[in-house]
Amino acid sequence: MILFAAVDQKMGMLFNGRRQSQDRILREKLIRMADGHPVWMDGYTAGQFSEAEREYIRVDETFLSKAGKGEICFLERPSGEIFGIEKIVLARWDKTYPADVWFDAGLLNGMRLTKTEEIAGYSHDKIILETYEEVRRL
Amino acid sequence: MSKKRKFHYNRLRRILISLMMLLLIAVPIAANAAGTKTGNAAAQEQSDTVTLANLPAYAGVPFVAVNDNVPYFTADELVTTSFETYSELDKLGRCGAAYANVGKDLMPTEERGSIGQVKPSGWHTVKYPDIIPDRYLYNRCHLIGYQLTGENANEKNLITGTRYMNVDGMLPFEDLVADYVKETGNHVLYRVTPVFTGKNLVADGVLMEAESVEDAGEGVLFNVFVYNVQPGIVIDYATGESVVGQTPAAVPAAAPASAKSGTEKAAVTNTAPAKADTAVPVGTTYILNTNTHKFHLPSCASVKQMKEKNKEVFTGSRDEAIAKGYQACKNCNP
Repeated sequence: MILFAAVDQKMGMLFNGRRQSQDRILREKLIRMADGHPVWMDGYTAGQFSEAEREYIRVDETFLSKAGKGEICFLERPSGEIFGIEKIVLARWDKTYPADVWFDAGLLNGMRLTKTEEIAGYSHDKIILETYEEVRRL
Repeated sequence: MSKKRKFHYNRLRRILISLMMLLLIAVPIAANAAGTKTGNAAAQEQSDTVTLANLPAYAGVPFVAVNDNVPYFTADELVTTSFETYSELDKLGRCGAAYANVGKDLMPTEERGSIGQVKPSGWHTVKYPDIIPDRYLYNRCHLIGYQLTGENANEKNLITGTRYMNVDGMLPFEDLVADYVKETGNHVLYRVTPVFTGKNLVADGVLMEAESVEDAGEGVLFNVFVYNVQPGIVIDYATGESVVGQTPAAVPAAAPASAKSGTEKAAVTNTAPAKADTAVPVGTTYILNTNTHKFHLPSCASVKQMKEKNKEVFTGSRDEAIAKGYQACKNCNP
């Protein structure tokens, strides 16, 4: 399973139960990254996808345990343990937003940054995609 | 009825009908306007009750949530037309609440102009280069950020605010609102109220309230007080004078432990306190260069040029990275 999350410059994800930000270009990029496979997510995250994008996503409240090998899980509202992470892709906003829930940076321990890619978003000048992979897989 | 009397009767009837139609149209508009004013005034009264005395003291985090992060707006204030209003300065030359319904049509289309000619109440041009990275203690701090309504040198929208309040406190909220409006095209009802104690010329902080309109707060909802403090500096809020001195802890609490080994990973951290509503960051990810002993943000261009064998991912605070013997990269300034 490939864990995908959007974070700000300080690894923030949510504030007051709401996502910090979203960007339609990033959603398109995510669908392209999945390369024909469904992108897994919960109902809250599905809310930011349009009707036309629905055919590319799979909505399940326990999606983290349902995704198969190599499939992407888009995580916005974290809870509970996460098993079987093959790779982590962080989409980093170009700003710092208020946060009261952060991505657990400890998940990156034992991983190495293997790729960075910069894209221009719709409402963000710059979004950096960082790919982390476990050291032993390299 | 004579022709003359009939003419007068018809004329009177037309006037009466016109008056009745006018009343039918005007009364709801007037009532609505009065209702909006009343709603806003009532909400403003509630936000005016927020004072430093009934808030927790600054404790190292730039803001604190108020009223469980629910703004004091009333339902009749949530409209889908953009507007912006700024309070008149009071007798001491101090700003009052700035209030807007932020829409794409209010957002600036050009770079911000000069605002240096405005001297907000309590203003001092003072530098602390050894303590403040950007040297200057005070900024001319927009109540409603330039990126939201494009207000330049509006004296009713600029207060004396510390660099810390401006950049670490207010800017993240302003950016959150701006990016939401740009992405969705929706409106965000937004009010920033400076909070002064007595006749002080410098505000203790600002109350920032926001609610997205079209989705009834699903996208944006907050009510926070941002402290007008600068770590390492003591401010006399009556005058704006300042000295180097002890302030409450500026360093956030330690990061909770999280990592586990193998593929069993800890859950993503949710450390939001239930009541205090203060934010505690858990640390930042840096890339260490084990050869040069510099540390970088993962997005830094230097990371791409770094040899794989020299890269090490580190999560923790900036101070912890320095304590490990690493220096901050001068390009990305982590």
